[in-house]
Amino acid sequence: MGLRDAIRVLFKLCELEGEDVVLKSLCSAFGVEVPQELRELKDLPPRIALAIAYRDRNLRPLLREVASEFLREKIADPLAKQSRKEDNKKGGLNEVMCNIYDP
Amino acid sequence: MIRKGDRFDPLDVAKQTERMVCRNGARKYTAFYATGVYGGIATGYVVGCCLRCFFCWTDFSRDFPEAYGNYYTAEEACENIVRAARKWRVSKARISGGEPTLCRKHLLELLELVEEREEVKLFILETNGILFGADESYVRDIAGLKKVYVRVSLKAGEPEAFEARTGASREFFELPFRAVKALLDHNVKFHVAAMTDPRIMPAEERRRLIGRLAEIDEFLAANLEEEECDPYEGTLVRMQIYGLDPIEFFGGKSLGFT
Repeated sequence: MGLRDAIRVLFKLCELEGEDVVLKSLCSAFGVEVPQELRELKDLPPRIALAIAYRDRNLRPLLREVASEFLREKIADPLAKQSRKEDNKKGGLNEVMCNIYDP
Repeated sequence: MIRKGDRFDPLDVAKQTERMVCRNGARKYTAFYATGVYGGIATGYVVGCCLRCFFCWTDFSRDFPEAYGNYYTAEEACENIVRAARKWRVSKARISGGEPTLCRKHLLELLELVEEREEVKLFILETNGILFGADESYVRDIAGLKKVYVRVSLKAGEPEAFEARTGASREFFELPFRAVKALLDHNVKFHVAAMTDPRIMPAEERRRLIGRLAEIDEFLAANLEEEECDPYEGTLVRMQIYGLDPIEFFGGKSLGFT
């Protein structure tokens, strides 16, 4: 997976769990490799890792571009968080999250 | 004393609260320990805030700051936070509970001390952005600190909703957005959070809030942390006072009723 796709996936994963687990655990739970460019930030929560990466002049243009694409989805989904929460309750993610908290 | 229905000036409330929770560079805290959020973080819980959000999870030290907590100097607070980090083997730290940007002198001293401690790699400052938005020099003061990471929490996407949810007058609605702009301009590490729980914020307001953030910077809007309201004890009581039925809001089952 290229960096662009990885960042896109990370934005989506952040909507599921962006603060309470660290990047490497979240990526591992979803079978996604932590991109080389973000390896130094792997022990931080993913949203924080993305925010810190955004200060890197080399990564900033790509992050901004992917953010712009992702934003359209985010705005178009008026009950995004709530519907995802409901989906999670139905199964799937609950189990994954349990594994993240208690590997 | 802030009464239900009062519309107050949060900068004035900040000053009044500081008179109760700051003393000669020390600040009131209720506890120091580590929690599981952020993948594990040592936390100092401060007393006092300049907003009165009805969904706030904090204990009643927010509402009665004169009655809760003990004073700790920046050195003592730093030691307690580092001790908690060591005990729970975590390398992140924060101050939470109340508004950490009250008692500026104490906070800046604490942050300087944390910079020198190897045990703490990242210090998360969770703020409502009111004081940062009111005084850009405050943002400048923290901009040079390497370990500081700010999380600004927005309460509303429009002035009327800001007033209804926080109790603060709508004329101060812009301050947290100004804080966001200042943090960006000063290259501080940060992200934005917002209470967009659909039970609290209508979809159209959420869209406006995200749009407003995108005008400042699209990345910040895409990386927005969308908060959910959880049934903490303080939240349930505040909701009732505000006129909401917590059982209806959260559902009886989630509150332990069958």
